Amino acid sequence: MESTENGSSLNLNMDRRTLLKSMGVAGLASAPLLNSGMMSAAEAAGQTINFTAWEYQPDTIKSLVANWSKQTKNKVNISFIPNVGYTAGIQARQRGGKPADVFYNFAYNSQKFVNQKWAADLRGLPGAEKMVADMFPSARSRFVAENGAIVSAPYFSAVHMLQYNKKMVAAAGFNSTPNSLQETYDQCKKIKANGVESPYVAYWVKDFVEEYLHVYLLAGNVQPFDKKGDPIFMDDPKTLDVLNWWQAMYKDGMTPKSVLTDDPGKHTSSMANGQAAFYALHHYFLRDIVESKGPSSGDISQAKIVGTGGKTLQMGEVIQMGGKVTGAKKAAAWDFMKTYGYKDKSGKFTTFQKWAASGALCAPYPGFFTDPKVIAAFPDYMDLSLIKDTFQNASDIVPARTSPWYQGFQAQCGTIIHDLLLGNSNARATANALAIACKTAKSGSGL
Amino acid sequence: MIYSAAAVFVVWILFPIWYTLSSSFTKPSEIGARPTPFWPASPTLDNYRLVLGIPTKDQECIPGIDIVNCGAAASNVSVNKLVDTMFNSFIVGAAVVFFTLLISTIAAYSLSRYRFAGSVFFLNFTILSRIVPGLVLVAPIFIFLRVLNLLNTPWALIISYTSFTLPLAIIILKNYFDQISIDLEEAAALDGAGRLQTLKLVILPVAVPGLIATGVLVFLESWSEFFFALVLTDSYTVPALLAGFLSMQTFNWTLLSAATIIAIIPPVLLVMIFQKYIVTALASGTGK
Amino acid sequence: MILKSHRARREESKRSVSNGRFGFYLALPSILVLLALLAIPAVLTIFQSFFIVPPDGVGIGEFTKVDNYLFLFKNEIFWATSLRSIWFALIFIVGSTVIGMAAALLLNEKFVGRMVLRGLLVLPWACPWLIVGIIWKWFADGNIGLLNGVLMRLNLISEYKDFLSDPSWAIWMTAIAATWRQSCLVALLLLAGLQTMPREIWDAASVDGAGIFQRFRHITLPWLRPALTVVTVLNVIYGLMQFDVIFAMTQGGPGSSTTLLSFLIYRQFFIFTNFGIGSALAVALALIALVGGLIAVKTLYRKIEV
Repeated sequence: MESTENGSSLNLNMDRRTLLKSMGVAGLASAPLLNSGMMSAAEAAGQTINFTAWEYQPDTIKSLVANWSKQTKNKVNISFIPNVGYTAGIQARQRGGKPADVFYNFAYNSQKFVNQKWAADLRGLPGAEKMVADMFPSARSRFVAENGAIVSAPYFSAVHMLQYNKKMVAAAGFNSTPNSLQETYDQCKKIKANGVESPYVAYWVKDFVEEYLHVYLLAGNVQPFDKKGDPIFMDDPKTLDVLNWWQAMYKDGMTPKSVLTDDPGKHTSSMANGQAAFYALHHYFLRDIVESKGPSSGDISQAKIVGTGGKTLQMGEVIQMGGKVTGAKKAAAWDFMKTYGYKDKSGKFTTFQKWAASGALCAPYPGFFTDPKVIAAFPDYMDLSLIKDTFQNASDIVPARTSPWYQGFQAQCGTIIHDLLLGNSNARATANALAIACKTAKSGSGL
Repeated sequence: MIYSAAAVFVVWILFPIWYTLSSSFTKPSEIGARPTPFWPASPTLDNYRLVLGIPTKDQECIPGIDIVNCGAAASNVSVNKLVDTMFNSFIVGAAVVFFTLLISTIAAYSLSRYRFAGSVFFLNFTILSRIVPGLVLVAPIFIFLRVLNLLNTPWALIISYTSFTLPLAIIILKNYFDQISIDLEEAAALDGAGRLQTLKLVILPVAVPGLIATGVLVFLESWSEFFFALVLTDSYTVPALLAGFLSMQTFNWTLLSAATIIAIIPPVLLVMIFQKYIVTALASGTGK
Repeated sequence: MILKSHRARREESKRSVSNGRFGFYLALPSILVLLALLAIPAVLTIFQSFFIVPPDGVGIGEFTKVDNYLFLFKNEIFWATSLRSIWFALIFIVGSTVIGMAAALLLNEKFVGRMVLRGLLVLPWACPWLIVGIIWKWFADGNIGLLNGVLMRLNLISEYKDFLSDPSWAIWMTAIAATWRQSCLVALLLLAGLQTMPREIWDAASVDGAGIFQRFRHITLPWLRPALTVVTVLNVIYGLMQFDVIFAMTQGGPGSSTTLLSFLIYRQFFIFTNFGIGSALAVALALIALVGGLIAVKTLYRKIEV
């Protein structure tokens, strides 16, 4: 990236592991150094930034943007693309030569964008290293590529949690939520026997099932990929247990048959209406269940996917800077990104405070969870310390998920996992098929 | 016998739409009733109020959408854009109809009455063009529009939709003109009318039903299209907006059904009004 | 017979009036628009199918001869998807034609309420494809859909069936949803054809003692053949190119049970930005559509002569 080279930092030649390790110190030390080489954000006024986002809470986005605009005297043009066509929309704009300056992106697509020079490497921009240093160590590799490039800033983060119905679990004679996948199955079976037709719901649709692959592998204490991003799950015998469990959950009717195509909105109402006992999805879905004020909404609480028995997936989407942004515009765009994905000038998490209040979304910074305004903004029925603990100690972001080839694997996952659930395939064959899908994705030749 | 056949037919056509309609009057909390009722037990207009941006009356919170009753800070999706988007769709549709008819009429007339070098090839190409998958046209057209600096404007859609409405219009109108007797033109020529004048004063008035039918078809194609709108603009038209609703993880069916019902009212009305023309024009267009 | 003399005279005057240049000028605007928006992109697509096109779209990339095609032909996903696309199109074509024909015949009879019924016919047809998908996704839903409600009331099912999560049903449901709209267009087109049929032919045949099915076979069907050809060609194209309905209903799932060629093209072009393979897929789909259309024209047209 041409324009980052002027910030000739000592970090440039480090690879990701070294960088991540040294981040805590180096970030702090190098930040002021780098500042001198760059135009400071305060000088960058009167710029016009084109910002593209998907349409989640458009009014919140507009107000966040308006605030920043007012403070810095820069103009921001926002355009919204529906989530369902976002990748298609944004890639068509890139390729057609009309890219945005700052844009939302899916984490799994972010490194590809930097490799294509569609998005900028943020190394050397004032405070970029500090931003990464301030994150949970477990979250950093989402934003830092294997070669050390900083590919993005956070838009939001979340952890997969288990929303559950306290009364149903107690009525089935359990004094805690499941501590393993097997216990999940057993509890479901008991609750089903108590008359709840399909006790377990989750967003297992084709495009999303890849997240669950990692949720369940991590819950089963399988490490899906090695440090280099090569798949190792297929060699772990525990993988077969996880896949067998998964298949049994569907085949034995612990979930509704329609779970392969159902939207989260439907699961939310199942939980709120007392038709399901467990709902595995991002932590913030608890908010929808409680706020829809169904007959059972008050009985719903949140726990870790498998309690103390394993980890869960930490996910999050990102914001990136266009690869062709330069000069004063770049300084302004970066200032905007920092405010949007990190802290504002006064060092407060203003954007994330707003997201916490309006959507119960999280940020991958420990400081976020101790910010009094965030604590106040989070809904009472959500246990912020549990979520923080999950972020800090019980979740993994699976760094391979941001690799440039990963999208090709992601696209194949749905078919392979659905085949398993539908009984067209067994655990061994599924693990092999997933491994082959990784291989074809890496060679760049999937259909 | 006829009536039982008619009844089967009514059920086939109506049930899916009926369900959409009844869902649009259903409270979100009543949607799971079994067996699925034909009409909600306590109908509500709230779904329509929400998608039209009117404050709701029945106190029921729809999480992520109805910010007032949930006491939430912001809505997950801008629901009240529906009316604006429909207006956009209408403008785009009208402009596409205008431009398509303008240039397809003379082309179809030419193909029906004249021969020029390559006219047969042109006609065949027009017919064949329907086998080109529309998706592959998006990228080149995107670059074309960027050069003209028309991206994210109604013109982007007006121009790109013409690429697939034009062949359709030419084929239908050509067949329609083929049915119009050449005597008229010969008579006009004897009266000393010029060729353009003949077309304008003699042929066009006779062709009005065909033009209307073609116009309606073109309008429907334009109103229906969604992928170009998704890529070339920021969800400027109705289908693209509905696709956005579809992907909202908290958007529910009762609201979507209300939005759907509203979105199909204009094309339904239009087709109903001009139905007679369509059938006659299509008869001459396909009867050859 | 009257028609024929018209046509003969038109051929004649075409020659006499023939002024190629004026005709060309009239067609010129259309030619230019189609050249810019259709012909050039189409040629570009064919061209790109022989290249590895860089995702950023700068430069034409690397010439690979027919490697993209070889890659497809060696890939079993391609063959499976092609067969699935053809299967989907067949359900769609047969369904739309049969239902549309039945509806047209029904509406050609005189009975009370005919006009109302004809008015209903335009309802599905006026729905955009994407909305057809939305409507049917929920109509066929396994928990709340009315389809299940109706089937249950009729005692055809004992518990709610989830059509869209069942791979063997999903392709049928998506094809039926698409048929729902298309059958109405087919009905309109065939009805238009029926109404130009002189009543006397039909009446004469019934005097001769021909039964209703014989009359249909020997009188109605031959009369409708030109219209039927147009209809079938349209059905072939809409069936093979279908994207919106599936996009709204299943996104190609569950598994790959509703992944059609149009979906693979979408994925290559817009998700993987792999334009070479995507173009090769598009060319393959266009060829399938061409062959399908030709088969339709050949079989239906030849029968007219008989």
